[in-house]
Amino acid sequence: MLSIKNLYAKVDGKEILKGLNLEVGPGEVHAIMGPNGSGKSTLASIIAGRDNFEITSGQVLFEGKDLLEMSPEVRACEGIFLAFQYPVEIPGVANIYFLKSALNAVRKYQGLSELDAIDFLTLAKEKMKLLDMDKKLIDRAVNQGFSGGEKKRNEIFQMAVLEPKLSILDEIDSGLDIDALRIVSQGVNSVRSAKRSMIVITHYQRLLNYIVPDKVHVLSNGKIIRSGGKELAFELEQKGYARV
Amino acid sequence: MLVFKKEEFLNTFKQKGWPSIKDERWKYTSLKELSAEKFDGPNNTSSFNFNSYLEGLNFLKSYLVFIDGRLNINLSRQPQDGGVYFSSINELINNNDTEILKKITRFNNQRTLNYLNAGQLTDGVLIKINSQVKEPIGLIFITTQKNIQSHIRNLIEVEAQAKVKILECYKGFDQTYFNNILTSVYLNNESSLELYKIQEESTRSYHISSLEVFQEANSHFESHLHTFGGKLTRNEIAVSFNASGSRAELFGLYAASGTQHVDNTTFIDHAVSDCQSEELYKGILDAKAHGVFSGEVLVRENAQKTDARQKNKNLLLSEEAHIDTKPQLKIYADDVKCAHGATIGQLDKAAVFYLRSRGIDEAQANIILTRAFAVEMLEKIKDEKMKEYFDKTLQNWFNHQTLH
Repeated sequence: MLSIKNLYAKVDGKEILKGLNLEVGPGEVHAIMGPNGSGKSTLASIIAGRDNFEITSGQVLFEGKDLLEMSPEVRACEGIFLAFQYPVEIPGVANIYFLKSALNAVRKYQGLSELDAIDFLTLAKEKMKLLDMDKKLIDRAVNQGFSGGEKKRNEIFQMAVLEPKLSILDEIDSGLDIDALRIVSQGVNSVRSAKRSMIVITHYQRLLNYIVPDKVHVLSNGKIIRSGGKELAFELEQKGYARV
Repeated sequence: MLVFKKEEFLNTFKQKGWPSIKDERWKYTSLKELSAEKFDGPNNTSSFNFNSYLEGLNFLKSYLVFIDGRLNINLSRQPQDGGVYFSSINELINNNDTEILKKITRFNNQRTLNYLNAGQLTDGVLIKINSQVKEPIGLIFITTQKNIQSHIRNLIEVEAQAKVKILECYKGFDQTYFNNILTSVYLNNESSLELYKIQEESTRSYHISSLEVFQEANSHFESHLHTFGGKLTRNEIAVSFNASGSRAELFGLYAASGTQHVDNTTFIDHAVSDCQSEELYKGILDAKAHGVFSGEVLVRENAQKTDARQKNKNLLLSEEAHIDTKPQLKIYADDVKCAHGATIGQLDKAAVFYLRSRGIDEAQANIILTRAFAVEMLEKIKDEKMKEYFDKTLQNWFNHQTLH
């Protein structure tokens, strides 16, 4: 589904990714762990299409198509979703209006009919229930005044509504208490299927108790230095990155 | 007997001439191009189907329609409320109504365009409100002829404890013309006026308007002025508090693109104590549009316990869009609460990316975020139907734009 080959990228002239390789198959969940500054968030940004970096060489293919040639909106319509580490607050735009616009843009691209207000609301309510989300949040401005936990729930809520093929969860566990972590993870797991893949970026093994990965990778200094099964995460937790 | 002599006013205007950019009040708005244009007075109006221009205004139970500056009673829906009196200004002049002649000719003589208005007067309306009128009244100005000038003079008088909402709409065919409007508002004790104005003139037209508001004790004035059209627009509002306990709220939204020029100039005269004024103007400027906000709040020596707030916020959507903003406070009293400020910004890139990362294309993301900036001005409107209409006109503006 996703194939990254020998990727090099710079941010502000500084090389962050230095020959990264990653293959994610359909239905697979990959965890990427690594110390601060290893390039985890840069990788997430590159896949989603942020323009604050320069790719110096390498290739990123999504279902065989060159991802790097696509605008962020086309990537989203093709089925890529980034759950932001720091979701953006957008005053003046109601959450429900935003998400309906997004879903209909994606559906239109995929040749599906657009949902009307009633059908959308039914869908939204169903997904909100899944995440035990306060109904009031849907009418509020996007992320504005949301607590850290509410923002993360809102990301997963969007993911549940948009049903992407590949989701990148960038430190979805940061700022969550145990209960919120469990609920957010439930939401993530509800989207898992044999066709949907995920890349879970995290510092902590704890998240992987809830979202159990098929593969774990260690990203260090711009490269994946080790890959293994879910047991690798436990090893990292015990030994730390330095000794892996 | 007082006689209204247009020629004398016109001669005075010719002596005084057009305002120049050397005049501080006109520093950022040049009328050079306008003064070089040749305009005729309007001819008699040909029959025309105006339905499309009145569409959307059906929520108004009553409105007066002005075609090329003249009241057209056949197209109007006359107010049925007993508390509303209205008459065409032309009719009152023709009847030599002395009281009205006095009022028409009583204007700010520092402002030369007022002499042009009187000297070339086309028509206008006198509205008197004697009770608490529930249904809003529309004043719809449609310009159909090209290369004409309309000089419109309106008087709005709200008697003690009376209350009214008035909506002014300006629309025109896509051609060159000039509207010069002078409106005087008299608010008596404990009266209230909500004045709504939507300017959707042709982008080849000139629109200059001056609104003078005189407030007596415990009166309330609220203005919602949204400007979308016009090649060159200048909206002036001057509020004078003549007695204590009054409140004035001026809310404005201007959206301009192409090479449009839009100027909002306000003056609030806190001449007496215990009055409140609040101003918020927001501007969206795209392409090579030029915006001007010039707001002056004068708090005179006797105006203790004044509460005056003024704010201008601008969103620039392109590299070449331009804003001159000049909020000014002049305070001569010591026991007052005053605040003012101006901001100029661009769309938040992180927000644009956030929307795009969910599948919304860049153009749509820009529209959503620009609308989000403007929506605060819609939220200031308490009347639901009015808010809906203003929302539609904003949407209409977006429908005709390709935002940069």
